[in-house]
Amino acid sequence: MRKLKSTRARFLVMLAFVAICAIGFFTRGGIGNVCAVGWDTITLACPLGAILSMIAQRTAIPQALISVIVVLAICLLLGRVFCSWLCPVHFMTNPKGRKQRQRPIDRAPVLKRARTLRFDTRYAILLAAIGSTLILGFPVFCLMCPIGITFALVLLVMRLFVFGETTWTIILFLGVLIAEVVLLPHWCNRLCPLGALYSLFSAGNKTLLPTVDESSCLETAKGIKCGACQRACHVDINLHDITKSHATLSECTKCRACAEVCPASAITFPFLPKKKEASQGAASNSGKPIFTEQESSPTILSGTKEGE
Amino acid sequence: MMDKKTHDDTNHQGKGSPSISRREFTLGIVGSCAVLALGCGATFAPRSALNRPPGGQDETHLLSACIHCEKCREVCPQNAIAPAHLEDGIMCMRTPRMDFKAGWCNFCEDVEGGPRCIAACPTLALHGDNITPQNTVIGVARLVPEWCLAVRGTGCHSCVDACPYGALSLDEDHIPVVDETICNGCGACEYSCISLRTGIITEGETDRAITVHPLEVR
Ligand code: SF4
Ligand code: SF4
Ligand code: SF4
Ligand code: SF4
Ligand code: SF4
Repeated sequence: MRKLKSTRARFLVMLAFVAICAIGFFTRGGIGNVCAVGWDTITLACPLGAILSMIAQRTAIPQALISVIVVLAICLLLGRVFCSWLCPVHFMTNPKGRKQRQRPIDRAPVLKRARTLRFDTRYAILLAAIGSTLILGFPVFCLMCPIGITFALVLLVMRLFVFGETTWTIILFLGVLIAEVVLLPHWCNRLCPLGALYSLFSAGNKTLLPTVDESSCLETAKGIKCGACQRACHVDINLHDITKSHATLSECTKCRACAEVCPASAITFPFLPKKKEASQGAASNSGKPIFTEQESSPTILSGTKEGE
Repeated sequence: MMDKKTHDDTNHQGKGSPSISRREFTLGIVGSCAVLALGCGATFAPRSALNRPPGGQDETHLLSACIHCEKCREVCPQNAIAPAHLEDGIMCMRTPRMDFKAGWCNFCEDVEGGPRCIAACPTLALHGDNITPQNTVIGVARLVPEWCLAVRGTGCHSCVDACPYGALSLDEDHIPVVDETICNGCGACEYSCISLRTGIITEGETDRAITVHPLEVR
């Protein structure tokens, strides 16, 4: 599959992020890394790490709590942007593009109603991360988080070359990373608890949503079976009918792939949903609105919870 | 493609029955158990006691709070912190330990606001108010006489000169002695010890002659 312009842009942004952290490893500024990024004493900690640490300590920690709130605010405004713009694991798990994927569009579970949030296996891992921390009393998931491990590996390799520091940790981390992102299929869509947390936080995101202009979309305007946008979407969102989709809009990472592949350039990311579309049933050819008024609050519906 | 139907497993649910497939359910259960199992494994794996930065002396607290962000290591002006490794125990991986080969801890006495490592820690894994060299003990220095150059009559006293707190002195044989009641484990002696860097290295010498060890009882 040909590389999209947006993919290249995102890749460069991610690389820049890793590079800044790598430079930080050798400065005294305290830039930190993905687990806690910032400057000096001002830090934005990873929301999952912050939550797990607070659970383990059974107290609220100001800096950690603020981090969670700030990330929540970012997600409300921008959705799950971290996943496709900053996370290095995202780029490692989809090396072969669409071909490797295993969730055929026509096998998406059909829902009765459009939902703001849908539970999938990632939430089971999120619960396990929280549960294990409750039981064992330390941030268990942080030990195996592929995102943190990626940054740790960058540091360890640099320490290897600069100080000649050898350790089995490098081998172990490489192994864990390979196991998680290469051997396990679809880490991001099925297992990542951090991604699940971002989806949860993005449930109330109403800005910059991908919106299909029905009057120019080939499917809705001309009746041509196009589907290009859904095939391009790495979380399998069906923008035309969210009830037939593997994922809800809270999982959109604003990667812009859909907009870029659309032959009619019908997909835009308006800052606010357009009034007209909202009342007509936004971008939905089945006449169902993607979001109705009642559902616009981040209610958690239990429909797809495990065990049902 | 939209029209290429491939029904080969339970993934497709009937209309209006939104539940997840058995495969997804299994993945969720297996994944969750894996997280818990690895956590248990890490808890019970052996781990060594480490010299921790000031404010990280309560090992249980440090391990429960540290998210391995390594900010403490980054901000240390003395370059005295290094990440712990697998060799120190799975639980300790990426947590901060003191590396007195690379620097020693002056408790940031010259820095306004006290220890930089404590100030930078976002989860209060390192914590404490009014940390001073007098009220904080990182560990205690120990001399291995067989490795010490002074024992062999070279007249070396690098560590004694380096100790900022007067915990080291020379006895009547000109051999350094540690006053354990004064030593706070700052590591200046270990940092300055030249035993491994001179031509006369004792056979079997694996470390510097004077090193800081974490306190036994925490
Ligand atoms: S789902 Fe997880 S691993 Fe994937 S991009 Fe998001 S944070 Fe990164
Ligand atoms: S809907 Fe569009 S922008 Fe959102 S994740 Fe899918 S392809 Fe990317
Ligand atoms: S107190 Fe200062 S010198 Fe000592 S470890 Fe912390 S940052 Fe480094
Ligand atoms: S700054 Fe705190 S959380 Fe981060 S590595 Fe150091 S002790 Fe752990
Ligand atoms: S004996 Fe060594 S560790 Fe102890 S206070 Fe003196 S220099 Fe520091």
